[in-house]
Amino acid sequence: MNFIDQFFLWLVLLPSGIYEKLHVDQKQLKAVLTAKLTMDNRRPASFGGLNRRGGEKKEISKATLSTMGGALMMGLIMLFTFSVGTDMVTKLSMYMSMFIFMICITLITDFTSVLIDVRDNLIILPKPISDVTFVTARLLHITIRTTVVVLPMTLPGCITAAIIQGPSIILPFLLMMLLMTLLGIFFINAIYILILKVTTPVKFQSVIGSIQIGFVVLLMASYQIMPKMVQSSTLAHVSVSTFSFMKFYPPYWFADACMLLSGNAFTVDSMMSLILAIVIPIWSIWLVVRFFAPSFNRKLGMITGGTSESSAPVKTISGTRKTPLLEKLARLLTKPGAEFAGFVFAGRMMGRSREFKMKVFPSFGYILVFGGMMFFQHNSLTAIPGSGKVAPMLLMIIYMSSLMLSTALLQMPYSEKFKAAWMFYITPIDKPGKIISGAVKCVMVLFFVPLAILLILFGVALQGPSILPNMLLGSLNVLVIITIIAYVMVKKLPFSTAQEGAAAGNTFIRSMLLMVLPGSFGLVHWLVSSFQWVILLLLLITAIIPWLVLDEIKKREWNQLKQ
Amino acid sequence: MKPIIQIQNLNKYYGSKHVLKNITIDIEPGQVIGYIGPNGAGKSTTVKILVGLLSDFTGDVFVKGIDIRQNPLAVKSLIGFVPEIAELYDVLTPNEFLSLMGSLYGLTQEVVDERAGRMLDAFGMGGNMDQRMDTFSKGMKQKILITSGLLHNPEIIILDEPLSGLDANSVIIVKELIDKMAKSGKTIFYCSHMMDVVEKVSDRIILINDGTVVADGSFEELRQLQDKDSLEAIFAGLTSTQSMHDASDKLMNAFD
Repeated sequence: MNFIDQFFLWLVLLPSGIYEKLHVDQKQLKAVLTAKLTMDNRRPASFGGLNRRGGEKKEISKATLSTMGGALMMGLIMLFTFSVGTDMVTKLSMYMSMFIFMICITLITDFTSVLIDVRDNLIILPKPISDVTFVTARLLHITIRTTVVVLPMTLPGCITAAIIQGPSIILPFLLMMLLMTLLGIFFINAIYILILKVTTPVKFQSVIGSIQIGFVVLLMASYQIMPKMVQSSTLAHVSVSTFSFMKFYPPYWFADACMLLSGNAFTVDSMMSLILAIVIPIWSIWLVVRFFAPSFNRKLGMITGGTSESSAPVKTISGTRKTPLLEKLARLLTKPGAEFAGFVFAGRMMGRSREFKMKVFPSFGYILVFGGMMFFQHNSLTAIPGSGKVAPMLLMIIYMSSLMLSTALLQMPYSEKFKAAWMFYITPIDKPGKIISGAVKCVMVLFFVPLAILLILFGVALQGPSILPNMLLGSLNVLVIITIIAYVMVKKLPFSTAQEGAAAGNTFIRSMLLMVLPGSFGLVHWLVSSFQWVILLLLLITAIIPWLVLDEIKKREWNQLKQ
Repeated sequence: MKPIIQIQNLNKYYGSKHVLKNITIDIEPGQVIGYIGPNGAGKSTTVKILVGLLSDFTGDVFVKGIDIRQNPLAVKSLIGFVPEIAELYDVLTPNEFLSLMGSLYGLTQEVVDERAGRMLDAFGMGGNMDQRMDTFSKGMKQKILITSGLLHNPEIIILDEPLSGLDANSVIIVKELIDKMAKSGKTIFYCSHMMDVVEKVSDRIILINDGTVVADGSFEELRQLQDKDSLEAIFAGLTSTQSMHDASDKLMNAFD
């Protein structure tokens, strides 16, 4: 355990008198908390850990410090909210909206394993530990973990507020942060209870997984959108107090209450905000402890049970089995056997592995947001009239999608279920390259083809059918780039390697290849984009290259794979 | 009769540790071999070599006359393997996982569907074909593994603790299945720590200890040779450096 955790552990165990009155077994409490904090320190954190590559076991053991560093960075990013609005209540309302949003994301992405640690049901609950000791341990654990994030995240905002408003704001500011954190815990518990109400406990974790992914994509998108919104709109001149609906908006209560406590003039409205800011979080946390946590724990106990074997009669599968679209595509694009298996396997795993989606889908957020921003800045998507050239931004979006594809491609060999890859080694696969080739084709088909079709339609709608050869060339070039990256970098079977073992070496070469390839292809394409005959010639050439490269990948032998 | 599996002077090192020491075994077609030994004796290493997971060994291994190093693919096609630990891509459904295995063995989808449906139905899992395996119990996963090992109708079946996690009814099914498969001419290589099961299902027992074969024969032969009543007693007599009573006494004394 690192010194930060040791400090927090010491701090939460200080009020021993209270624990004694509550009949909490303090030795058990300390033992459980010590074990949980030690375990936390050995798992990757979501902040900064999202794209962590292997060979960095030391960093994982410092997960708490990494989390704090990530939270501090997030706190710095949130400072842009202080540029919004004409008055401090508006600035703080924006800041606190962002803060509660971040806390909720953090609780979902980083603390779900804490909130729903089903191992407790098997390891701790069968031991002679009282309910009150167990619930206290869980709450203190969540408190410590949340504090580790909240403190550094709050620090930049607190300093900025003190610079703008003076030191009198520091204590009220910190108090409001604490109350908002309590509200965040309530909010997330409420979401979880709601999910448990509408789904089965068994499906609960996969639903949470989908929400986590959605939130991470949203987070990535918000990084892009928020600062631009502030720059491009009239937000800089807005004052939230003029909108009456703000009285129903919790972050506004906290902002208003904070200003009242730091010396703003007393009004009935601000008094109301202060009461709401204090009462609602305390009442909500009472709700969590009194009603939500027990029912949550009861339902959670059902998660470990698994499903019972069905006694339903077997379906007559032969002849009536519908061929899924993935298999239809595989039949169309791959040869039977290993390549077909690689395509279908990769498709299913990419669609279902939470780990894969958490690492890859956020990069899709960039493309969506980037494309969306381009859409709103219409000028950047149209070419210079009469130049005959394709709009540079349109080309940029196409070539940028290769970054998204390469993220998927480079993540594909890694899985927490890597030990299940024994099946590739006991079956008679002559060339493992066939599996890889099938998987690479699957990445292209699932992630690029729909996007390429959309972009082509979008481009034609913007610049007319004359842009079609250019859009087709751009799309084919992306396939060329992806196959080259796959040929150079993907030398492992899909989902067969532990994430911790991911190669950290050749980072420079990798990064260069990932940046330089799309950049160079895009630049050359833009330069020749007005010469239709060159484009048509290049179309013919680039249509062949991906198949040639994939053919080379297929020939890869067992001894050419990286272990 | 020509042996279906020939292991000659098999040696394997993990670093400087000599794990398998000059193992030589001939296995006839249709035999059920009970391959037993204490933890760390080298059983799993032998199995890994036989199924092609390890290739850095010295000595020779022939399966149906095929050198495993010269033509591992041909050997893999002949063998069905049920591993000890149920490691599966459990976000897949049994249907999807077995289709994948079938594709890798070169079976058509129709054959996979037909066989998998029948086999899982026999295990009482016909209704679970389209459920994701991450909700399955250990026993259910084990049934999927057994099905995947037998799917391509192999001549040689290597079972590493196949009964792990299975319910009593399924244990009976698997034991009878082993017997019937052997009678139909298939060769079974059965690794287990469950001595009573090995004693019943095997017609030849090979006991290894510290990388060396220390006993090889039918249960009756071993019983007469060692003058012991059960395979458990034979096992203890040949592999333990201390009496079981002493060991349990030591454990009890740990509380004093």
